[in-house]
Amino acid sequence: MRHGKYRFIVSFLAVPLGLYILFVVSPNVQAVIYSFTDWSGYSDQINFIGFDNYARLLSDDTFWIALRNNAVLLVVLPLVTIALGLLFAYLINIGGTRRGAVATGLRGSKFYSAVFFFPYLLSVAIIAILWRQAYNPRGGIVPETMSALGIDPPADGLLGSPQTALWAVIGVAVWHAVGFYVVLFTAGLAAIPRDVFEAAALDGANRFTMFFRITLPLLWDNVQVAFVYLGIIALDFFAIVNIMTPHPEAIANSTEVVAHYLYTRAFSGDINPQYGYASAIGVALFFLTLTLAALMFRVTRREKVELG
Amino acid sequence: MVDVDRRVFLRQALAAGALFLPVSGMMAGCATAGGGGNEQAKGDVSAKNPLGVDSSAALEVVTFAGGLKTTFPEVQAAYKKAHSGADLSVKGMVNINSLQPRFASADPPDLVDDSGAQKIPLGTLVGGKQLADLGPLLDAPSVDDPNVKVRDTLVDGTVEVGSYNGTFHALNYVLFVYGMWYSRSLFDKHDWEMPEQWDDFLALCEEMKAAGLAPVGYAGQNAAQYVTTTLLTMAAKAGGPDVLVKIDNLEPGAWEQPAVGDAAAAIEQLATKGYLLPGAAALEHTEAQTEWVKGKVGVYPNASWVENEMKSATPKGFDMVMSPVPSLSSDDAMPTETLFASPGESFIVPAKADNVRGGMEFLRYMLAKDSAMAFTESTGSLTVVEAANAAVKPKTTGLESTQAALKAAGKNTVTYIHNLWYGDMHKACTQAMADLLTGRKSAEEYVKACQAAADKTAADDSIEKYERK
Repeated sequence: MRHGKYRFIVSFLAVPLGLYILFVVSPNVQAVIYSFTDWSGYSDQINFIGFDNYARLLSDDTFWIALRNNAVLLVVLPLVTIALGLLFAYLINIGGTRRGAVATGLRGSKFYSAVFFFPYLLSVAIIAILWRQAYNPRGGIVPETMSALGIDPPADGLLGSPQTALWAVIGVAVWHAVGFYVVLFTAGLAAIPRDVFEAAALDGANRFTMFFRITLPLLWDNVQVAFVYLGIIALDFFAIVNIMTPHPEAIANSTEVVAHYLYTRAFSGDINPQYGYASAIGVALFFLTLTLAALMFRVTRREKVELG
Repeated sequence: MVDVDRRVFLRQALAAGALFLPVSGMMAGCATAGGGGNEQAKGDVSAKNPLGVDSSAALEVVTFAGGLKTTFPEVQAAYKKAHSGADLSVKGMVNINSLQPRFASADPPDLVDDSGAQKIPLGTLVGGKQLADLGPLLDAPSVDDPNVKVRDTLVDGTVEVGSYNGTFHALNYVLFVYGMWYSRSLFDKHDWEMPEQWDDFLALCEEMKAAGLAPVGYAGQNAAQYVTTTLLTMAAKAGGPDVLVKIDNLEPGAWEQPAVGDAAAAIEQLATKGYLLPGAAALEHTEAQTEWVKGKVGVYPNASWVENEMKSATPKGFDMVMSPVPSLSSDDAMPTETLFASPGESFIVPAKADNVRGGMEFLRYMLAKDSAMAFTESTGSLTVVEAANAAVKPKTTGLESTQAALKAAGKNTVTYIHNLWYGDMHKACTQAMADLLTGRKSAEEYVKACQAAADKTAADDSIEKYERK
């Protein structure tokens, strides 16, 4: 009997587990193995060289610059995106003028939620190409708008100046992601009983009090999830960088990120490919991501607010 | 009850997985090692078959479908005529480095045009001893005249650029000529002429600026190295071709040669005097070149591929032409006609290909005068076949001016190879060039940064070193 049950479970799990091992686990394990080799990627000769690749990583200036940029992203991207997401979700659902004691969104809130979500439906590649055009210093909409507002856009272009390039790509990422978090937080808000807000309103709480004392604590679970998601995006960030500034060295590496540097080391047509070294970068990034995810869950853990 | 059972199951599944994973990883790792000593296809050597090709052996050729887009129909016909039994396959590909698994498993095609942004850097293949020695091709009789070796039909520099420490591994088929590109009609309209001296060029820049043009165009995002070529051409003209040889050979202080410093100071003036296309630092090459063909830029330092590249965006009557890079002073070591001409589009025959001789034979037919002329006519690019370059009738203004400039230069052509040999150094120098053009670095700092990158490469034992004479 017991035996039959195992067979039953295994028959269900075998295919997905097999696919997972083949396409996720096995490449990861292989990357770890290759990170200890001098494999170019093309040779049929592979030599194990111990920790040489990792030692080289420690003294690789570009790697550290990339890591620093990832660190900036890790702080800025979640904070800005979540702050905007919360603000928009709050305004759309609760922050409007009150009719009696019923909390509603701003006028036209349905329209806004569609508008905010729209960028999220487009692929990152489309977004990045679109924004490259928008940032184009020769007549792009962003520098033109800046000029119209009396702000001088940088002479070398927003993507051509080391001072602005990273912020320009972060802006694109925020624009892309914020709609998803508006929807996520809206769902979270829907789960909060309306009478809580109404009671607070009757007690004379203003919008700020209501947001910081009621909305945010009750949404904390969603915010925590958002932090982890956005943290992972910040640690990757390959696609936008590779399309918007494919050669970060042209802007003093100011937009180089670890994932893109890995790609350069393995697949650039200009530098001899070093799959072994690139794998070592990938392994370093893997453990970094793992550590940060664990840390974030620990740091953001809070007492759960019990309702009802 | 059920809960406990599930946990037991999961624990056992995990244990099974832990056993299984390393095995699967190692097995996959083994997949890269393969291929033993494979048998080379071989036929009888004769006057008609000097390379000893097996006329019945299949031949697989991969061409680059990105820029030039030709699959050499004339060459295919000639090869089939000579080797009627051969099963010939010629296919175009854009991402050449997607051949990676075939190289790693020792099952590569017989001939590859390793070109484009996704090319396989040759240093890797040379270092892994994965390329056949193409020496027999150089010493084989040419298709046009059995008394002349292939080697003697090629443009100067072809053997040098394709050789790695004395072994010829890559036939660079296309001759790219660098210079100052401009619209002849625009220059005629303003009654301008392309100056031969740098000081006169700066004066012209001032005039172009006054006429509302950006005098000089470049693309900072991915093509600042075109200006590096301009700089080093000026340096070579001022100090002689040895200036570039020293840089390629990583000689101590090579970048600190006075000629390089003077050329860097000249380029720096373009930045400090505001002669560069505003916003160019943020543009990619097609974007910046579009500004140029739209008539907003006076001169664009570029190579002869630009005419074909911009064909669809160039308005009728633009008439793009090229001139040599100006000389730094009138007592330069080389004449003003001196050109930077560099063979590109590397055709390689993998050492572990099944039909190495067939790959070389296909190249031999590509190097026939008629094949090369047909190539130039269909792509607008000159080749390394000297006789074809002289004989071809240009259909476009760009090709016409390139051909004329090449003829005027004669033996006075220069080139560098370090960009192919030392990718990291080249990348660092391109970064320094981007900094120089945006004013983030002075000419002295540019030279210093390049020298530091060269010293770093020279000191790094893990980088294979090459030498030219």
